[in-house]
Amino acid sequence: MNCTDYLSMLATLPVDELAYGDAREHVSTCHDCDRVTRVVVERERNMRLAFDQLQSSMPATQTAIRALEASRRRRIARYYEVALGVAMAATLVVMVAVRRGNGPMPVATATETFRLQCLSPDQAAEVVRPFITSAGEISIPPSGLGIIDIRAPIEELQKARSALDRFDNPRESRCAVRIVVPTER
Amino acid sequence: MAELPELVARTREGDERAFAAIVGTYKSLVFRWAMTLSGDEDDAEDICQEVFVRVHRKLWSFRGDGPFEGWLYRITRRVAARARRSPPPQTTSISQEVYVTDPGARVDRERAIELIRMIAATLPMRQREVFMLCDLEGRAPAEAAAMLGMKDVSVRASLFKARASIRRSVLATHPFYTDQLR
Repeated sequence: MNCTDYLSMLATLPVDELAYGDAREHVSTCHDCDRVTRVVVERERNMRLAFDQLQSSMPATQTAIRALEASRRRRIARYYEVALGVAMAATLVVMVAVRRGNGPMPVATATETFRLQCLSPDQAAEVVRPFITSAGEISIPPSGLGIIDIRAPIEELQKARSALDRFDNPRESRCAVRIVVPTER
Repeated sequence: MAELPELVARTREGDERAFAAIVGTYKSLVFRWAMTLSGDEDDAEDICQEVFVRVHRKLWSFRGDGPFEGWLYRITRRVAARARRSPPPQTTSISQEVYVTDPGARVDRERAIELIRMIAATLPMRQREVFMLCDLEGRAPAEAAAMLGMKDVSVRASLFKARASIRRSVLATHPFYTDQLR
């Protein structure tokens, strides 16, 4: 075994394993390899010693006190988290139950009969339809009378009324009779 | 001093002195692990602190069917991994050096910290853990394997690689070694 072989073994094997056979024979005759081996052994021993002596600079009692405080704080925070979660879940459950129990929220509606002066009931229905949503209803009497019944929420009913005022006004609509009085010269 | 199972039982019942005794027994060990895993002294102090917070909170889950050190090491490992993922805190802290008053101790401490930094810089995480548990703490590879949740053979392979890297870094500074292998 030459120095190169020995050093390549020294670079990877535990020192104990070099204390037998060819390696031991070589190191006992080679002063340089023996010196390098001693360096490695010494460095590894120092490494272990230094590691063993490594201490935290904060006293253990301080660490324990801080850990207890932090643990207590986190426990309280956890209680709050759980309580908050339970409260939110309960609120959600109550809301869902109320919704299911009552069905859709009722909308206050009113019914009004409009007497038509100019438009036919069908024409009036066309005029007001854009203002009446699904909650409302437009009824045209089959008798052919010039009236129209509208059942709708108050707000929509008002819009329908103003639309009919505008379009079913004899002075402003197409069906208005225009009286022209000839003037004397 | 009371035995560990008794300290654990008393801590579970809310005895703070028993918990302080556990911290006193294992603080240095956890700090050394944290230093090796993080490679930084301040991080190691933070990790150490967090580990004992978790120990206090999770002690009920320690069943005692395995070694306490293994359980403690797994917590340290998790906390260190989490610390690696989180960005460093922006707040400045008071230096911990204030507690060290002996100048000799300071020199030894700095040498030890330097050594850990060298190990952290030289070895990948897995090899670092194996080297620390086996070569620096003198545990058997089987025990290290149980602590790390690895196979015995994988621990031996990592240990071989770690030892080779450390040995090479030691020998790299030696003139005879560098001359021979040039």
